[in-house]
Amino acid sequence: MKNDLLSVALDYSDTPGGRYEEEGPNSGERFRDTLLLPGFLAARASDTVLTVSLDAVEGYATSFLEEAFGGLVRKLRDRDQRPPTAEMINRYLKVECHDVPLWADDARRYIQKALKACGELVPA
Amino acid sequence: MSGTYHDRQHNNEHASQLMRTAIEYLMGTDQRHPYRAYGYGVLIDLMTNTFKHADPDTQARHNWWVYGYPHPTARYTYCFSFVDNGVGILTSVEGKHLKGKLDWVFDSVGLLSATRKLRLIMEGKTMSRTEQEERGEGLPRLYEYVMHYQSISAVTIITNDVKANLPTQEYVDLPHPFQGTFIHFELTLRPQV
Repeated sequence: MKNDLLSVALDYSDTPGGRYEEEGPNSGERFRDTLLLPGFLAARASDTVLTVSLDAVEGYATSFLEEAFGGLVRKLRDRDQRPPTAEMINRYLKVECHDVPLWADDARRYIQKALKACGELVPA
Repeated sequence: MSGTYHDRQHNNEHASQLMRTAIEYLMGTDQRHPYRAYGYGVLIDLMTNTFKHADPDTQARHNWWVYGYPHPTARYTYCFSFVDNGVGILTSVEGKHLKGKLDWVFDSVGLLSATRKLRLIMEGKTMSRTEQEERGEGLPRLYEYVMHYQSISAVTIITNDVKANLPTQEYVDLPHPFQGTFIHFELTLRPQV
């Protein structure tokens, strides 16, 4: 499968902020709405993989990562009128971070929790 | 350094500058380092939490202040003292469910102690009422940095009527409540030779 790269540092900001734009600049909400969700939808439409790189930033607030990645699941549910499946997310989205691998783990964990909250059963 | 709701556009610059200064003091250069990244994330969560802790009655927005400084006696330790004048952590989570059934029952009838409640919040044992959003991950992450990764060497929290020392796991009731949240944390890092 073709692989498209979305770098938070290069394509968005190397100083990510908090959850919502009203709380300050470079929020997880705006990253999700302007880059992550459109990138995911394009990958799904073209059957390619969107790889999100979390490297080369100052750091991440937990609220940024939750709103971006957990929020992606919620936005897909609202858009498609049904919860996305774990299989769909895993097929079209890859998250990586070499600087601090914990952040990629966090992003994946927030996706899993959002899927669970949306009613999607997540394999243990 | 201080910030207000109206000044929030500068939060990220403030957090970045504070962490660069700390790492430069500890390592002699402001190079990228996981500790710099951990501290940045903690500061952003604390600054933005201030907005979340608006007074539910008046919706008044609150201010925060943070002071970064070298430890007075420990050469390889840098300290951060953060304070906001919001409603405090315990007040801001009122209405949230607790994951343990017994704790939830005690809380719902007003019999859960403030010290126990803050401990549960730090350990991530609360969940939102709606389950639509997973909020309140910042404090459990700070707890993880202290207890599991040892990247942050000391954390003291004073909020509402509780004082907590995370490394020693001491949670004590305060005779006089504090309106707001005070969090002190320290980064300890020895340069590699």
